[in-house]
Amino acid sequence: MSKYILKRILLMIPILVGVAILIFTLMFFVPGDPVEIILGSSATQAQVETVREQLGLNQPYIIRLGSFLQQLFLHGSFGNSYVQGTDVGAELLTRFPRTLILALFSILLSMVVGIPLGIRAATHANSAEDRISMFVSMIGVSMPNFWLALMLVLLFALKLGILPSSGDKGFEYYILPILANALGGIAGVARLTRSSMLEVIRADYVSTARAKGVSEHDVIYKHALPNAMIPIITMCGGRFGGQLGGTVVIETVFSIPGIGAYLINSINNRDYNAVQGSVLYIAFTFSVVMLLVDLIYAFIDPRIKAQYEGHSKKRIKRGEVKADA
Amino acid sequence: MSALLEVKHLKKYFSTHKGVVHAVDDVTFSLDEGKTMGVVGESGCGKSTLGRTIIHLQEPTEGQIIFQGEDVTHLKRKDLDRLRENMQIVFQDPYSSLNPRLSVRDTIAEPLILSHKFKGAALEKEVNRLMELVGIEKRLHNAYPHEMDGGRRQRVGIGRALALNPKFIVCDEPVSALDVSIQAQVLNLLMDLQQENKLTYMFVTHDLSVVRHISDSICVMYLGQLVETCSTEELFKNQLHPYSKALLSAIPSVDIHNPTKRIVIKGEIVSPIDPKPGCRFAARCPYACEACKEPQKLEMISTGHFVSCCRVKEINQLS
Repeated sequence: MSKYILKRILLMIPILVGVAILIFTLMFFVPGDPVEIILGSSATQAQVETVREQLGLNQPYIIRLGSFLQQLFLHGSFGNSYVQGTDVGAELLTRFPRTLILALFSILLSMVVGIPLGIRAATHANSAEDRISMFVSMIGVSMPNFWLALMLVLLFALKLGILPSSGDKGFEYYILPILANALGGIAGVARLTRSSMLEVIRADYVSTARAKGVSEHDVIYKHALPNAMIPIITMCGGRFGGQLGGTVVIETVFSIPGIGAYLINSINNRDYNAVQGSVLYIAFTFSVVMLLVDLIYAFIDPRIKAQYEGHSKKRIKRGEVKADA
Repeated sequence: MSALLEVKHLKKYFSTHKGVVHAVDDVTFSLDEGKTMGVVGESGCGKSTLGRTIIHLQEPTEGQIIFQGEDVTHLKRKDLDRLRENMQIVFQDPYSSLNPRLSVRDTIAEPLILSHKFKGAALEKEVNRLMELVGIEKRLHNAYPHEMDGGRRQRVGIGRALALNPKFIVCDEPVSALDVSIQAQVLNLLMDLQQENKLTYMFVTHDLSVVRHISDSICVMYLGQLVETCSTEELFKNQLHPYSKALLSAIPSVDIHNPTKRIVIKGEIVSPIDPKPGCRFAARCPYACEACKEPQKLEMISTGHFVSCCRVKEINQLS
């Protein structure tokens, strides 16, 4: 198992190198000039040339790529933002906790509410209750989150006045963004849990458990649910990984200075270092989350665990199992 | 000897949006202790539903199930636990009937733990005894279902069914998913266990040679209805219902001088959704007449031989 984890961590290195080269190349070809944005439209041609020289933007592609990679992997630095002049890495670090709070609580809320709803719908399949909740969740899944965010602001901030509409001065500022972010997640998780549970509930081993005399509660939560968890974990892992890279729309609507807002600003300003830094950060967090998801699989499903342990010596030494499958 | 299990006018209907499916319709039979009753019929005729309803995996729609002289048709949770200790089921597909997350030990131990009869070392000893009883090697103690072949999995399924020492086991096509060499092993295991533990089996299958090998008596079902029931010997020698005749003629003969004459039934199976009263085989029966449209009664032709056909005497030239 530890060998598997080590392998996965080592595999992240080529992924990050690949992403670095790719994003650098893409930014190289993107039209627009950061210098003109920094200096404004009134700058003279000579001023522009001087700043380009200073930033090293007049070098050929290969040399710029080389110095970018050198700076990245030898000095562990993303460089400074052209626009703010601050260190991109430090900026990402200060923004990270905000995005983490938003992503973590959204995903927890989606699971804590969505999974029980889905189970309830699956165990009462085709009842009125099931139909209604699936219809509502259909609306939830298809509702754009910026619209939902605005509606929540309208209701809770403007009409009722119980929650702040934007900013990040305390936890209450995060309640509306988390809600706006999580409602779609709740609906999605509930629908997926329902369909996944329905498939498992029909399996013979669930009948077997009933025939053994296992209580209905344990049949659902001990026999059926763990077997239905794989797609749910996959979905939530993907959502969480994606949201750690910033929820651009939500952060913009609620003026939360998170990673997503930073990335969008940087792209608008053609702030190469900031864009490259943000994208690399996103690739890194996504890889880490996916590794965690794969490790969770191993705990849920012995078949997947066996694959990870595949050729470990310990297993063969103990001489257990390995029947002719 | 009194009957261990009696089933009277058992019905199991499923309502779907197309109508009511009559999966099991008015089935009556009794089964003595230590005997094996085969239930045969084509796919979808309600054999499995009958078995699942008897052991209370589904609520019966109507009728009575009498087990050891006690009416167990509608039981509350607590009594159901007691009943489950005496009635078990072995499923058809050993690939889907074992929880992929439970090891062999956990699968077999679960009913023992739930019964509160075994704990600690006694529990482990009992698990080992059961594994040995059904012939699973000790080294597979911690193996998961995906690490075993079909035969071993089915042995685990049988082991866990036997865990609480039941009197009656429904075998729902337990060998049809296995290849032939393993079929024989599992069948022999079931028969050995029956002799040692005085088990009573209801053996659901569509494999006529299997049923002949293992059963003492046979029920032939067609679209939810019981059409004929008698001892195995009698059925293979002297089947009376037109459907049984057609069904048994489908067994290939190994004697080239005396090939069986296959009775080919024409027409389509009628839908089990909201069927008309009367014999359901009538639409395909070469002997069908007006009287077949009336509901049929199970009639005793000779001792222990019941047939549900109004023209049975005429067809078979019985007085």
